[in-house]
Amino acid sequence: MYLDTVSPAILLSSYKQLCSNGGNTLVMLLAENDPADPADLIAALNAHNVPFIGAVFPKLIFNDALYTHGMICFVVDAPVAPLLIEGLDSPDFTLPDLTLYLTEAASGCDLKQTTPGKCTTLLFVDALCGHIDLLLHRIYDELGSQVNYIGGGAGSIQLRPIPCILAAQGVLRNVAVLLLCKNASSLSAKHGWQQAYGPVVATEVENNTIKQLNWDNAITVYQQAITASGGGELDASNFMAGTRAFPFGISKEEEEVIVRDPIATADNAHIICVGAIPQNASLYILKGDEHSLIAAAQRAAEESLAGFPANRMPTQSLIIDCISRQLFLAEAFSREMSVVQSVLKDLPLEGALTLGEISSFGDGYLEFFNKTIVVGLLQ
Amino acid sequence: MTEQRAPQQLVQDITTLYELSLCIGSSLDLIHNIENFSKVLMARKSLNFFGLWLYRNDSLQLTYASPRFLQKQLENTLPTNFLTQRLEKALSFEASDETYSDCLTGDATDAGVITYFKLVDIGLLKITSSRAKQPMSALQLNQLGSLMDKLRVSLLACMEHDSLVGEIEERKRAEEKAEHANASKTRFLANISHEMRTPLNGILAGTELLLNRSISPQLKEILEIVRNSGQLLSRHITNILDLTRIDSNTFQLKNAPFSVVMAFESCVDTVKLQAAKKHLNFDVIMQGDLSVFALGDEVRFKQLIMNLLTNALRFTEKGFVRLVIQLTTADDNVHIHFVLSDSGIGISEDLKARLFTPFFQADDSATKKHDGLGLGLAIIKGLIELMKGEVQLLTTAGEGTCVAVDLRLPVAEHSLHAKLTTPVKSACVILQDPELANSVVQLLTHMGVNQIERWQASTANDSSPLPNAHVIITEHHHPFFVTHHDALANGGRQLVMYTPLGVYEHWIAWANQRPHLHICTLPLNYSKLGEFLSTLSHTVLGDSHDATNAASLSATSMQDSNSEPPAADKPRLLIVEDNPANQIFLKKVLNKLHFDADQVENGQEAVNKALLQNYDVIFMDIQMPIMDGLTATRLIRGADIKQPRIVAVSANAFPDDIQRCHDAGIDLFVGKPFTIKQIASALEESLGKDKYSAA
Repeated sequence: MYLDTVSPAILLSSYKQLCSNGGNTLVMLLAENDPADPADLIAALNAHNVPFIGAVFPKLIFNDALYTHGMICFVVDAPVAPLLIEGLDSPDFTLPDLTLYLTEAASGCDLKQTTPGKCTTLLFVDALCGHIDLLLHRIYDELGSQVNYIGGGAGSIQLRPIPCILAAQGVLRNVAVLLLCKNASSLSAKHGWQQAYGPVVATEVENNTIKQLNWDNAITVYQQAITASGGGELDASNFMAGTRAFPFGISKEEEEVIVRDPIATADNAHIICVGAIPQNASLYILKGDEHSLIAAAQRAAEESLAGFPANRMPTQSLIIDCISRQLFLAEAFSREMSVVQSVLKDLPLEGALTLGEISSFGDGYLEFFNKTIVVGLLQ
Repeated sequence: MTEQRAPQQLVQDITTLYELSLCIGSSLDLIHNIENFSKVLMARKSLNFFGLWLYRNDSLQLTYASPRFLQKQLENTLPTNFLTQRLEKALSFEASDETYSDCLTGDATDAGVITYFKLVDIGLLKITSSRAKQPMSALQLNQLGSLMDKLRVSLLACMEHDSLVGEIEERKRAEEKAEHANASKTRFLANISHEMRTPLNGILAGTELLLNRSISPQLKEILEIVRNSGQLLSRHITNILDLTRIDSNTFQLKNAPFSVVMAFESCVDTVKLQAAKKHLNFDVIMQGDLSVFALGDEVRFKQLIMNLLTNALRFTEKGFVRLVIQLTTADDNVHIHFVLSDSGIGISEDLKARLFTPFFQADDSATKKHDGLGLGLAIIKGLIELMKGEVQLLTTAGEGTCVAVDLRLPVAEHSLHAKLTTPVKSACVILQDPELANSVVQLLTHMGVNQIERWQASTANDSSPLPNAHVIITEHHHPFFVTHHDALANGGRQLVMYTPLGVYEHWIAWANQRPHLHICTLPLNYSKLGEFLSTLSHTVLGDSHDATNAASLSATSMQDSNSEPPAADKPRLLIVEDNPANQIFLKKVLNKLHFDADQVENGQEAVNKALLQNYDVIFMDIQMPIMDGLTATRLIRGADIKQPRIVAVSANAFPDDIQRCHDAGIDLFVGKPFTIKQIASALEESLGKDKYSAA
């Protein structure tokens, strides 16, 4: 459901309406520029004992259009309360006992069911908290591939830190919210970026900062790669725009590479990405075009639909698409939405443009993507 | 058949191997190492599961699993039959392939493609991927297999490291345990010493009270033995307490001004009788600023000196004990350097390192000659460390010992007022020991005597002219002095004559008739000499004959009572005991029981006596010098004589000790401290009731 106008009263009323079709926990995707005060919404929901999770995203997807205000909301059937994970600005954050959480939740979830139709974990995280990869690794370590994962990095399109996670505890920074729900799901993550140059080895990295490539100045090597791939000269003034078409790709066996979006430079030598780069990773410089990206979105929709149990019908879509993908595609982005919509036919598209996308590879390892579209279908 | 790989796949293979290869061995911590490898491998191949089993105590145990929550579920699910029979190096198969049904573990990891790698001799690795389209090819298994070899070597290094760390931790735990045990021992000793002191004080106080009453000489003698033994025990207990306090760092040093010279001399005065009894040459040489006052703990300083002096005197039977002290002041500190040397028994090189260990005794045999608990040197070391000083020890077995101590204490303000002056203008020093003479000259100079003659003791003789000096300082045995003492007196001169303590009484009687003569005992007491010189004009007017030394001999008679030879029909008894107090006590007890006894001090003398006289009963101490009681008993038992009854009287009263006595041929055992009743009972049992009653 898309709410054009968001207020506590409207939200409560919508929740009631959504629950009439089943489900108990509200999921909210709030547009960054919406005038509603998230704190008021949370206060109202808490006052009425409404369990919920939510996050603030740069833009919202509803059907084949993008919205800079309003809210996407839907309900899921969650047997346990959402879990807040705090302190993600430090690698020493404490992860609550997820095994226990899973055990509690398992009373209502079919954990033994193999793909397709596993139950689903929704996960929203502050995109600028700094330790998303570690968080995902630790979550997977606790829950494994018993569940499907879908979610995204929340925050501002300006890449400035803002309180962006909505939880019963308030509007928060440097946190993540996790919700295990009984809803069966199917997922697919695709991007359509192609290898243009490489591999080059990330010989010195620090979390999401590449300091050296091939034992040389990272920016120098990256510039050479872009030039060799048909791109122009980069400098501080055009870095964001210049690199938009040339993200990094982390090599992955028999899968699409994992895209890493360069977003800034530091010390005239280092490249800062959205998401961590493993030490000694073999990186490719990627390039793409409208055709390859939109075709990938179509494949994601098709694969997700095909992965849904044959005897069931998805009732809720959750499209997690990257903001930088939309910035790259610009006006062509609406075609991406159209092709996805055409695959999903009558199922309305609901989702958000995010700062990094979270999904497992189908039922496999949990990943943090950039410049990728994740098509999630829930029942 | 060679497997064909597309160029893109080959690049991917190479980059995969490269990344995996670099993440192996990134840590010496076993789990970190596996975790780093697991993260890269799982991410690179989109694995669902990574599990590593290692041999521990001859069985495979799951050491690491990701996802971690599977660890508990998988602990006992490994198909070991398959592992031992079918897994050679690596194996990859689809979970749904029935050919490999015996390789399934029946748990959540039986999904998609399963691959096992054998880590030779140390364990195996299992990975599963639900995304893989087919089992790994031989080429892939071979490529990854070579990585697994590297992983294996790395894990072996980690396990070796863990083992070493374990050993270090074990050692650390053992050390902590030992420290804890030591602390407990310290507390125990402190408690027990304290508990012992309380009743002991009662005994000592009571004995003193009795001694102050009008009592018979016999009772007084016994009470003095009780008091002396009690005081000795009290000193032992004090030493134990001090050592425990040093060990437990609860020893607090005081900080008050004291005269360093007087502290030394107080100790020397206390022990010089002991030196005189052994006829030792006991010299004290003091040099430097003798008027200096230091800031420190005088009691503990004296304790340190006393411990060193008593040790030196205890272990020196003949020859000398010499204390040379050098006091220098600089930068508001007094540097106290002293060397105590003796011609005693010394100590061998191999025992030297253990000398400062508590309870260590160089001679811990049953025949040891010297009493004590072995605490003296440990306390010395502890005190010197507390005072932040240094001690050095030079010793050679049979040749003597030399202890050098360096201490630095702050100079006290009292030093400014401590300097003594004298009206004496001229003095003559005629002393045989050049160092002693030097130190006296230094003292005189320091006090303002401006005309000092120093005569060589060897060249000054009876034909030498009389010195003009107002004060002459010399020794009793010098011929010049012997010849000219009266002539010297006529000139209005004062004579200070030093004599060993042993002949002091002889000289003091002679000097009583000669007011100009002042007899002093060696070792030379510098502060008293200084004091005497500073007040000399008054002394000359007065009638004092020993203004410089107030030493007095308190002769303690330890002589045996002159007992008559026993009558022929009386039982003949022999006491074999090295400790005089115990000897006298036992004899008194026997006297009280109407028996008399001969006495000897060691086992050798006991054997000699027993071979010459037919004793009825021998009371035999066990731990004695020269020959112990057990050896003596064996020799007596082996001799062709009328065999006596032998009663052991010993403080070593554990069952093993008693058994050893019986094994040696001893008939009865009486533990120390004994009662009259116990001795009576042993005697009655040994002699028979009739003979005992007849006495």
